[in-house]
Amino acid sequence: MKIAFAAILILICHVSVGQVRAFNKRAKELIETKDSIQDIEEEAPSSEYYAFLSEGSDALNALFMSETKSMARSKPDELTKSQTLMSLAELATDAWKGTQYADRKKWKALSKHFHRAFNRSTSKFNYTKEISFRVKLVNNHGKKFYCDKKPGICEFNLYAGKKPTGLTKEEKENLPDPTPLDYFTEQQLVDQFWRQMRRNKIIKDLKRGRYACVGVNVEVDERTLNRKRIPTARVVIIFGARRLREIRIKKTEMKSTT
Amino acid sequence: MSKFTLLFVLSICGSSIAQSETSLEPCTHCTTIAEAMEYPSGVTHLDLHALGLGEIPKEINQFNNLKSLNLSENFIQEINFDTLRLLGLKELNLSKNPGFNTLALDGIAECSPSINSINFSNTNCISVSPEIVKCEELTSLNLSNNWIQFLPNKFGELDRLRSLDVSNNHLKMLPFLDGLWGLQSLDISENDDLHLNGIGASLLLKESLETLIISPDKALSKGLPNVFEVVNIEKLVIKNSSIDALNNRLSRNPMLKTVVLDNVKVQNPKRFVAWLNRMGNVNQIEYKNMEVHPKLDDIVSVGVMQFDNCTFTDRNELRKVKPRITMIAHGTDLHNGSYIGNAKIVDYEKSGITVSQDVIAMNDDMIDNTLEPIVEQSEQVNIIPADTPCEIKTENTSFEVPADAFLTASGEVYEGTVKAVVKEYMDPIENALTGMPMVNRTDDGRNEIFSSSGMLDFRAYDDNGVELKPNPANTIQVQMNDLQPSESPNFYSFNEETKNWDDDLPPASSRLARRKSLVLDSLNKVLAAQITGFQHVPILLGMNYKKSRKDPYQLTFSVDQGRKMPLKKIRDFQPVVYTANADQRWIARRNTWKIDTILTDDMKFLLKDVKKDLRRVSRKWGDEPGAGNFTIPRVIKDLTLTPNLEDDNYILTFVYQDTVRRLPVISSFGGSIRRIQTKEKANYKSFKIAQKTALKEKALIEKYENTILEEYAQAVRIRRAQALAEFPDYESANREYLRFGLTSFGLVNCDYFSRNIPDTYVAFDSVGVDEDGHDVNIPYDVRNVYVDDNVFVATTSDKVPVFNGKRSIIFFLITSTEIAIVKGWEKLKNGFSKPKVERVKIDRTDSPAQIRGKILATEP
Repeated sequence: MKIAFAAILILICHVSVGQVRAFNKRAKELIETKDSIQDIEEEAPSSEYYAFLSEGSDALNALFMSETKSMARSKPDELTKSQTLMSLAELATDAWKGTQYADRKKWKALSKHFHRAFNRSTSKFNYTKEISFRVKLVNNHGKKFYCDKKPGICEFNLYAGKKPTGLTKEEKENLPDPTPLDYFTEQQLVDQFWRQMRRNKIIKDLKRGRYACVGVNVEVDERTLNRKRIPTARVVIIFGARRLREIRIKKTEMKSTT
Repeated sequence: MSKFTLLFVLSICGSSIAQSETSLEPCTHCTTIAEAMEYPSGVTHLDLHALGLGEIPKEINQFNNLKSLNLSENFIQEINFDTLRLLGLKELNLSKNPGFNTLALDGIAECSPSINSINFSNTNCISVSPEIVKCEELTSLNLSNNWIQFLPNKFGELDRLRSLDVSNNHLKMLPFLDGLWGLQSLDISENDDLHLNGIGASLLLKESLETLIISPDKALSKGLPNVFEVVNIEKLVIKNSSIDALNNRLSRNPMLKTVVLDNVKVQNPKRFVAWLNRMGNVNQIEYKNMEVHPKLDDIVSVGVMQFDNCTFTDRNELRKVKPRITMIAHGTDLHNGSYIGNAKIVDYEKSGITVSQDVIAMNDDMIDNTLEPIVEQSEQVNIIPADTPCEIKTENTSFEVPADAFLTASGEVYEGTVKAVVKEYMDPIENALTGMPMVNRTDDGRNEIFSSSGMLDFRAYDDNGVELKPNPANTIQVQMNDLQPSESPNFYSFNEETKNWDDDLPPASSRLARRKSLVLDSLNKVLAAQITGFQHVPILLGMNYKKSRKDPYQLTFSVDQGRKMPLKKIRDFQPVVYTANADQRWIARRNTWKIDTILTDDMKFLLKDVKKDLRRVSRKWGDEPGAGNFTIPRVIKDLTLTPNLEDDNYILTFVYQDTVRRLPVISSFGGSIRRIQTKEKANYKSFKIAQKTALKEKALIEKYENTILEEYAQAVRIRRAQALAEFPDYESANREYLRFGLTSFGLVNCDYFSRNIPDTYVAFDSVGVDEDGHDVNIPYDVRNVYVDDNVFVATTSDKVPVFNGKRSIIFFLITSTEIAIVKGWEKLKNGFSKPKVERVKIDRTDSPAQIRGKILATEP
């Protein structure tokens, strides 16, 4: 038992170490020495269902980005899209898989790797805050559901109710069509997004314009597809803030220092 | 056979022609100007040493490709680099030109931008111009054997300097050593007032240093202060001193391989040998120019023992020296001793001064130098031995008489007693009274009147009263007061046969007045802080780093010394001010700083080096009272912090090893962004306050330097200029003097030609009138004395020159016991003037000085 336990532990460690290595290695390759800043395009969430399987995660990415900016509207010029942060967020969603997204402590332990990677680039901010969470992509309305690939009614093979079992052939023929689960609408996804943001206590600082840059990445977790699981997307948001935001330097001083 | 003979003859001719061609080839390494002028652009090395040059030859600019110029052992007193253009010059040797006062180097960077070696030793130099730092390529500088008290702080900017020799000077401190990071050889020996502890501290972190030559203070019985334990030196030379033993802490210095004792008296041989044996690191010991201490046979630690020009108290000890020790002995003196012997002197070209015609009509006796004296000059008789050196002193002159300075008429060296008779002619009135020959008839027929800087008559007689001749091998050196220091006189000796003056080599002038002004000028250029020894001691900062699991290293600073409270007021003269440096203290004390970039290898090495150096200097070396903070070198200096809003960090700047280093840093505050931003704001505010305090302190010190310190420095400058200019310390130090060799006995003078044109002429009538209204017969011979110019001229009474605005005395002899001083004249209708005179009674027994007194007494 002890041996098995130790073996599992070593395996877990190996996997996690491997992930860190992959992250650091790719960070070295990807991150450019000078950060580039772009404006965030604004998009309003619609009440239509968001078909993540056909539309992918890019639209959701842009939507979340736009929502972040709309929250910082009081200081609209402050928040911009940082290429370094985008790359880091993408790397994080790509390299780190597993329970980190759910466990806040585990995620916090990863922050040093973000800092290390972040230092490779020169940017206009020097403080970062990384947030990660999952967003449900299919709405089961809080009820039971099951996964069945046979009917082929919906793309993600999830249906409401209990999966009929132990039925005779006749009963099977007379069975009504199963009720597929719905996609979330964009607005519902945005609501989920805000709920998570609230949980991470970021809204107050965002509203006050303390953050200068943001990088968002949304990736559909393929391990939640075609199983009896609600399909989710892993979301990593990295905020960058200027530490010296409050410091004002007189023009004369600037001249003398230059 | 005939063909062979023909071939043989042809070959001989060919070889001779070839030889003649080679002999005609222009030189590249020339030793005279004439030789070099044959092909000026081909000259690369010009050796003009010991040619008696008074100034740099004008032709020097024609040597475009000159690489080395040797002007040593001449009489050059100053160089104007602005007029020179020697772009390729690498080496300049000006050593042993004893008349320099200041090494004025204005324009040297434009004249010779690539110069890398300057030898300025043995020049009596007092100060060095800070312009020297413009010689950026300078690698070797020799300023030894001078009178230098201060060297400019700007010396620290000579980044490429590898060898510096400032031995045998009067230096008190060398603060610029802190900035010379490439120095390999340093000679600071025989500077009695130099503080070795401070020097050791300055050399503490210099990795490149190889050889150090010092003369320990008498108070240091161990030879060296403890700080030398960690100074990186391979070869230590202790010179011209007396030591008890070697500091045994040197055994901890792993770099030290060779110890050289040069003219050192070892007072306690037993202890010296015992301590030497502890130094396992020292492999070689060299003794030079000294009596080697006993107990040599007890030395076991070294591998090589070398003796250069040494003597031994007990030679038998040498046989017992351990057989594994290699012994090297040189009987000859390998040490470059001080310069001995006279410089070779040759004639230099005459100056191109155009000469105007005679303007003063003199009487014939004056022209022929046969003027009858009114009275004879008094003489001073000295009886001296001919075979031993001695000195004769008169009122205005001193004679340094070497042994065997006199020859008999037959040319043999005279060895008996000599009667030396000296007459001095130091006043124009006395010259007029004694009828001194004051006209030089030149070869081209001009009659030049002398303006006298001093004249004397030296004669020597043997026991029998027979006149002796000077011995050219042992010339008597004369030092005569200079009556006209502002002029440059020549040296003349009177030829009794031709009744004319023969010109000789010019005398060397003391030029004390010029020296004083030069010294004061150069001291005025020295900063007040340097001249007063003022030290503005900043805080001692330490920088350390901590490796972090995160990439950015954490930097921590420490403040060890310095005033904690800012200075408020400096009232009186204070030699040392410890500053608080509030802004640097703030940076060091407030935060831990994180490096905000990926660390490169260079950065890591830098941090390691700083940490290592800091560990080395943080030991306590202050084994001398009053050494204070100054002995501890500042590893990092000038710590500043500038916010960089562009990159959202601070730029931390500090000076390490004379180079400004910059590191992007952020403070190590943690927590929410709100907390961080608020703290950054508050911290920056307090940093600004600290900066203001530091600026106030800086302004206060600047004000102090400009007021109190400057006042104090000015007084010191004047005092020091006076003291320095009086070198050498003769009795008549404040008097200008001329120095020359007495190549011939008889009448000699140091004069120059007076060529002033009179404003008008007066023709005296045959009869004048005295103060009582009696007639006075005017003789043909009238003597005119121009006191300001030291000129005496005898003219005819019908053409007496008159200078307006010059003090002149005109007199003539009425009878043998009476002279008349002309006090004015009345113009007559016939064009002549009737002089009004004042009679002065004289006695034939009166000395010229007494009569002179009577004449001067008639002046209102």
